[in-house]
Amino acid sequence: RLLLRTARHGTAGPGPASPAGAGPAAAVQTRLAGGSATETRPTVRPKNEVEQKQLCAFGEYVAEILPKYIQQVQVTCFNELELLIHPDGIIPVLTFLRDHTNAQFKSLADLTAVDVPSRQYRFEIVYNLLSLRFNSRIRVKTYTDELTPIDSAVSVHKAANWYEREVWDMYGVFFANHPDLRRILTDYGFEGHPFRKDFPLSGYVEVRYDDEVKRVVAEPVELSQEFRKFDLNSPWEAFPAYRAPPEPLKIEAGAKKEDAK
Amino acid sequence: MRLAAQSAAVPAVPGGAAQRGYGGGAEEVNGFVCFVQTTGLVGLAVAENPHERLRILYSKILGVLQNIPRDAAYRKYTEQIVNQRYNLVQTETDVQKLQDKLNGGQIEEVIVQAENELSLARKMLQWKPWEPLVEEPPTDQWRWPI
Repeated sequence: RLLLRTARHGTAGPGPASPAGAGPAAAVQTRLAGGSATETRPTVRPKNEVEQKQLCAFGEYVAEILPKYIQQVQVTCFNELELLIHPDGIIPVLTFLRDHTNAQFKSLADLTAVDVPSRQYRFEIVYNLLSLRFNSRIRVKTYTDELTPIDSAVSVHKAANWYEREVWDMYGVFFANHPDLRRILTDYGFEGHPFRKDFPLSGYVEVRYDDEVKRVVAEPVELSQEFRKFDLNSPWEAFPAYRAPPEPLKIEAGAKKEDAK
Repeated sequence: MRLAAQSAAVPAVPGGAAQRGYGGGAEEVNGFVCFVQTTGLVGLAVAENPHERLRILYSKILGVLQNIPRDAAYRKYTEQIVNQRYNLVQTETDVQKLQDKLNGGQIEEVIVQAENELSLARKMLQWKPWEPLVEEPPTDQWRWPI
């Protein structure tokens, strides 16, 4: 089902707390009783309602044209439009955004991935596009797991070439129909995908020059201090605004009681 | 529904419009009459007879759109855009004024955009994006924060 909502990303600071935040601010105002007419909050980004409305309208427009692939549309609190897409629809959606007269997002600014291991499809591929004609940006997000390949965007944007090589090297996401998918940042014989959440910070191997064999050898990493895991969760609730509603208790149909005969 | 008129200043090609002289028209520079014809954009040559080219392209686009189901949103909006531009091309003969009215950059850029729209329309015929959603995402896929 298509869902258009304003997502509040980032800190839960001034946004959702504004009714509550008006508490101490209002208290200050009554104390200063008639001092300044309007309270100013210079450290808080002012809301740009016009831009938000325009982005919402454009998001609805695109969602109406491409209902086959777009699962969700959202506008962040920083006025960034995001389209959440089924992986089959990458090439159609990117081509539409590049070629359509009302879109004209000719520039692929960035192509990255996000690893969220707890999800079924752990990798989230993110495309950032820029329209020079209309001076606006849009973000397109898809999902995949370790083994499912994703269509390469190189046929739509040439800039995707090295970005996709980087995503392959760092996360292990395979891009089908890529002209030359090989490692780009890791060492030649490197095994593993470093940006995954289960890959340790120090890695598994370390290299050193060995004088006997007169070359660089790779050996299992040896840390001088053993790894310590800290539990950094505080006992207090971190994000009261993002409290999930308690799950309703599910009553499952149990086995019928056999009548005593 | 165009964002161009509403959003922040569209960066026009600097000096491009000023340099253009069109269709054999002469420009007086310091008393000398010279034929200055350049779009100001690398790789984009000045188009002779842009009205004809645009007319052909727009009629081709409309022809491709006829094969799309009438209730598809893509067909509705694209026909709106194309008809609007087609009318402007037919009524306005002066190229400079046509450029200003179309508000899409140089006339050559408008031609390139029409070619893109044509190729997009042909691809849309194969992809059929007006159909309902292919597959719902798993429940927690788009939840953030996790």
